[in-house]
Amino acid sequence: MMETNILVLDFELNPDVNKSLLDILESSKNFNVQLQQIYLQDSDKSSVVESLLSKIASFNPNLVFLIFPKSLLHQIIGLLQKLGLNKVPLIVIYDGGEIEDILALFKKGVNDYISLPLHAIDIFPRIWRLLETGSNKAQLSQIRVEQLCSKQLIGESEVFLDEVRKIPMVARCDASILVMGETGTGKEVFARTIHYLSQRASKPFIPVNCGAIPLDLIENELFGHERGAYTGASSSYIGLIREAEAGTLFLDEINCLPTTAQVKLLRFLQNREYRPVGSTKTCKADVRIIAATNEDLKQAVKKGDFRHDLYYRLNVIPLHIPPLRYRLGDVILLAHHFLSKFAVDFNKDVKAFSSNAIQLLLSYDWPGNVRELEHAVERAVVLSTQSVIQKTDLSLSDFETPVRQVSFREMKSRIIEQFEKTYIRELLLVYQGNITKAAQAAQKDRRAFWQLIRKHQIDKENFRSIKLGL
Amino acid sequence: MFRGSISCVEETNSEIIALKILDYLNQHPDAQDSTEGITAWWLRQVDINYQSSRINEVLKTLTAKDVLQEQRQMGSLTYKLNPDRRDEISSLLEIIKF
Repeated sequence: MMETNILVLDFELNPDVNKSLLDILESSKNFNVQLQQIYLQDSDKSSVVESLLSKIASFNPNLVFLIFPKSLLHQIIGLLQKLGLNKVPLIVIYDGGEIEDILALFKKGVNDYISLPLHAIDIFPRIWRLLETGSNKAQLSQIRVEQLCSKQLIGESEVFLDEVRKIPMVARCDASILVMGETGTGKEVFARTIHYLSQRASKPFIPVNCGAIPLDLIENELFGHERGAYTGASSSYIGLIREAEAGTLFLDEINCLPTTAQVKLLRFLQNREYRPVGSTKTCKADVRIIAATNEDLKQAVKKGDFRHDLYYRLNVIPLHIPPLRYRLGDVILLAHHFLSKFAVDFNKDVKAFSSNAIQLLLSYDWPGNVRELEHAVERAVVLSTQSVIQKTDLSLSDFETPVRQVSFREMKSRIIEQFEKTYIRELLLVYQGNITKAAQAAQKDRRAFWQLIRKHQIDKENFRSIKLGL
Repeated sequence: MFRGSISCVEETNSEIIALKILDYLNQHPDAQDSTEGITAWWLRQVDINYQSSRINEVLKTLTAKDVLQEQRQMGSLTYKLNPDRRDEISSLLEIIKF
């Protein structure tokens, strides 16, 4: 019989209780038991959640016992929600609870309940019944992957989540994917997530920026060359397609691919065959191609810069990553993510943004998208002298176009445009997307205010859920 | 039986990062990725944030010690396991795992 992993999470810290449970469980040779004692009251809850998730992923339990005192009921319910343990059979050992408490626990995914004192006759039948529901290991790995996925793809706005939801589906198949989005939107992060959720996850993920390779070397880099293929080719080179064998090759800025390389790539996508530079031999490779572009490839096809047959081959599954200005509600979420990252990187005790800094983050246009936000937060963490990032630390004005070589008229119109955008966004932010109230505050006619919103393509829905907490 | 308690201490020790990378490669010997991918997916940053500079330092050290191979193409720098060291790493990880 296979060994069953049982994890005992003890928040009660009463040695009598956990000892009596462990004695019962260890009386069966089929159980591999681990006890984890957690000092919840003294710990940072988020660290506890992460540590427990890590523990669950490494131990991969088939069943979890949870022991806790009545005083921790609400904290435990909150913790269960965060842990997503509803996919693992969960038995609670909880003494003196009211029926409402027990029901609340069941609603959070608890499968069974045992009161004290503990008896083997109460415990074993429950374990067998719950284990009969089948193997949970695959489900647990899935929980872990979902956790990682949410850590990589940060955002809650619908326009973003619409694309994120496609990832598990497209990861399962092997079709070519074309990721479209402005510079800095996170196209590579999407591509990598698809790779790690796919059957190819344990094989190479090779990211290549086609725009960074000189035109005359792209073919060589992608398909490799034979020794003596050209002057200076003193040894053969396998190329990126071969390097990515069985894995995924991510071709960023695919629009930069010259015509000759486009032909070769098309042939590869059709037959999985290619010929290294200077070789007479045809090679085969099993590689998934994920391409990305920050330009409208359809336009490039129309202009004759990009082969239409290659475009259709690559664009089997399109993913459109929205620019950050279309998901303003995610700015603060992302900013906090980068804040924790850079606080660790630079070993600084920076924990939050001031209200003014948040307002600035939300009123800015983010032409450089998530990457620009990341750099802005990085710089702010470096410059900050306090534990709270101030508006001045962000110094976003540095990103504005320099005045050099711009006519007075052009500059004036840019500044007016920027002023209008910032002004409207700030008002919508304050009035949570209510146009009538924002127009009244601006002492403008509602219709004229609405026209300004349309002119600057501001989505009022982005402001509906944002609470400033001023 | 294992008995432990949750520790919230940051595991930013270079040796721990190196072991995590080697453990990943022991389980997925054909894996290859750039620093970003290694940080996000091999080190499973859902647990904790590691210092980027520390991760880079570990990758460079493991490459210098010939444990990892650096694949430097134009516009791409990726790391993979040196296949000649696979058995050695496997044995090492077996010894240190309790």
